[in-house]
Amino acid sequence: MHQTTLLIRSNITMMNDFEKIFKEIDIPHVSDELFGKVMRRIQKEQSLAKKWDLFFGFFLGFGMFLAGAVFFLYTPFNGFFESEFFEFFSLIFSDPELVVTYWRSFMFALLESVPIIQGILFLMIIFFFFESGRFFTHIPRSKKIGILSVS
Amino acid sequence: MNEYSDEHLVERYLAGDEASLEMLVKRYLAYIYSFIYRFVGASDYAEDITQDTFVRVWKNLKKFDQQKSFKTWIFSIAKNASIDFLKKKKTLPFSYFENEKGENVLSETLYDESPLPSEVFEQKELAEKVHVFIDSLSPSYRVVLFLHYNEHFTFQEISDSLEESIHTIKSRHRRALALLKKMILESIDPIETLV
Repeated sequence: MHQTTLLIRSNITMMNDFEKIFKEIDIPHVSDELFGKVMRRIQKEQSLAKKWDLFFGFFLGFGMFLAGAVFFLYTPFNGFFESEFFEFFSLIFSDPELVVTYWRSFMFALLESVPIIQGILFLMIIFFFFESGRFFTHIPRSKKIGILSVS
Repeated sequence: MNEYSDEHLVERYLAGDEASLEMLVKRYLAYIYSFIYRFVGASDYAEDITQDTFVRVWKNLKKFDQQKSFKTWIFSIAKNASIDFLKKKKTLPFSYFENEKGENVLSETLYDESPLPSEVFEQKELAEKVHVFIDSLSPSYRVVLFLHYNEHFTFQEISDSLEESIHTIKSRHRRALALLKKMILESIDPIETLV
């Protein structure tokens, strides 16, 4: 027991000796510019990460747009060509004299058969396409006329 | 903001306060630089590795477990960054006295817990000599000594930072001190010790 106590005491003394020695050793000097360098590196990485997110987001968004456009453009175009509007409209080219003679009836028939839903869908797709382009290229919207403008 | 704990600053940064990150960097910059400097043994690279360390810290802040100690976490990142650098440079130095298994025959046979003789402290340029002796130790020994005696880490904190068991850390500490003591004693009394 006595020997163990002596051993512990001498161990503590030895460690205290080394504490004294380590206090004598110079601490490495940190240059004044290091903090600035560290923060600039972090800011560079932040900027790079944002660009990657934008890049990835653009391709993902563009891919989804293409997939959606194929589907949503097909439907209105298909509907348009299958509608009576197209049949009446094509009379202008196939039988123009008939159209001129019965132009009032022709106008009413055209108006009645316009594929409104398909037209709205088509315009929406075009609108989203331009809006996404504006988002990724950071072009501001003109306040005066409410459409895209390049400052 | 100086009175905020590290974990609180992390929470504030994740909530959008950029100044909290700057505070954390300022708080740990000198300690991390000092640690890396000791570990790699070269100031030329210590700055680059310090920058890498803080970039890694920033990238992994979202994954940091706020229930754990930020101090030991950041030091473990600094250790890994230093090791990665040394691997790239292919200059992982080992102590002159260590074999391939990391065992030091000399320290095991000469381990002596008695205090250093008082003549040691009367030596001129003691600090310079000790600096040279410490630089000759392997990084794993060096870093335990500096974390314990310079940064006043407990053995548990060193164990958490270096991701080693506490038994390994204590063992390294003993061996490092034994080696250092041998070198210091030889510098006073140049009698050769037979292995």
